[in-house]
Amino acid sequence: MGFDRGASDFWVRIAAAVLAVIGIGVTAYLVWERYHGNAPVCALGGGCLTVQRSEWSTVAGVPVAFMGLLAYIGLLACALVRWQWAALASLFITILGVMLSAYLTYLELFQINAICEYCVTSAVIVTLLFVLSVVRLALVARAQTPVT
Amino acid sequence: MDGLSLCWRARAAGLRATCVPGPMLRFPGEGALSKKAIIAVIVAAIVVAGVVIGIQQATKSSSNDSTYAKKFTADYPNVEQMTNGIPQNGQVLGSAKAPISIVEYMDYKCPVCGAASHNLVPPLIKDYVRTGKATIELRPVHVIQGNQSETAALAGLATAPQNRMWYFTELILRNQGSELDPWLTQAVLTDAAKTSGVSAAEWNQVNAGQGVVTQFLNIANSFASDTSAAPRGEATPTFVVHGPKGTVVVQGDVPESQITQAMQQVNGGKV
Repeated sequence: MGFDRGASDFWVRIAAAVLAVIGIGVTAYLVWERYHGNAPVCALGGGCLTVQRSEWSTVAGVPVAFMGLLAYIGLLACALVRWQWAALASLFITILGVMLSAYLTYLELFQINAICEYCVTSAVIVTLLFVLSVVRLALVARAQTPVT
Repeated sequence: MDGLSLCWRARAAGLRATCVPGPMLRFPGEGALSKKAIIAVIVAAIVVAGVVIGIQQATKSSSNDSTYAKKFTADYPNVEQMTNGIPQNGQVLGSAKAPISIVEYMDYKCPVCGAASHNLVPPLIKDYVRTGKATIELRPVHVIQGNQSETAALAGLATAPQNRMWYFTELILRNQGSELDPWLTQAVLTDAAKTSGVSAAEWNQVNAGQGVVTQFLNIANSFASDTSAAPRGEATPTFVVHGPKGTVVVQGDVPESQITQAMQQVNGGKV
């Protein structure tokens, strides 16, 4: 096991863990409501139910909210460990998350014509996590730069 | 043991130390972070996102739209049997000489309208429209939340110039999805129009024009005035029965006898 000198990614990982836990809460709620056939409590009108029941709410039968839940659990795990591969895995998951969130937001605006505030919240969280992943990798790279 | 653990141990032992979290760990044999690894991760994530979107597009279109196309095709003979041989003039079904006219205000996504299409409309057509005693006119309105009812209303009105509105409307009402679901997509409307025998080019042209919008707004105004004194207000379906002796408003998926009673009222006791 090797050590690298330099700046720590400790606070970046703490921030990522906090965001991942919030993401787990949001997606777990949507998964729970879906499997119980309930309408999510939506403060901005009935958009959540419309989006949740839309034809775009699943991928090959798997609810998008469930995929989001798995992604946030993965991101929490990545945030809790200091391994280099975890930083790379975090980047992979967040790029995937940002792209799919952008696509789903497009669908909400132009296809489904309804906005789900939980989906918007998740999109914001995953975008922040992406930024943190980039910062974390930058810190790792800097820590590995040889001293001259 | 890394530097951070040592620091915490030192603090636990009562020594003054500021514990700044330690360095990144690497697996034994794992090299330093390379640009290649980062680029590979980015490319992999983009490819996986593309695959997920592709799978979703493929499964979405086959699971929803084709289901309604099949339902419409299967139900078309029943709708045709119900209306076959009866004059259709735009939104109106029945002979122009009929003394009584019934206006049906309906929403394409309203479940009670769907129920009325199964229970009430077929006997009304059989007993009073086919026999030349009454006409029924379809007037689509927007009651259900979301914009699909409005889009469907415009699409339905656009089938009227080809005298296919009754086929189009009954196919949709009799095969509705849940009012909470956004099932009434453009693809489903197109399937209903095709099954109804509508000429697509003409339908698209009328549907895109201002004429149907004006018609829809006029219907919304007449709906508001016709239901202003009705007990349920602007609810669908609303049947407005006009005759020589006046007008009676009946709302809901009611038994046929209630419409018969209303017809007698507006026609001096006769039907």
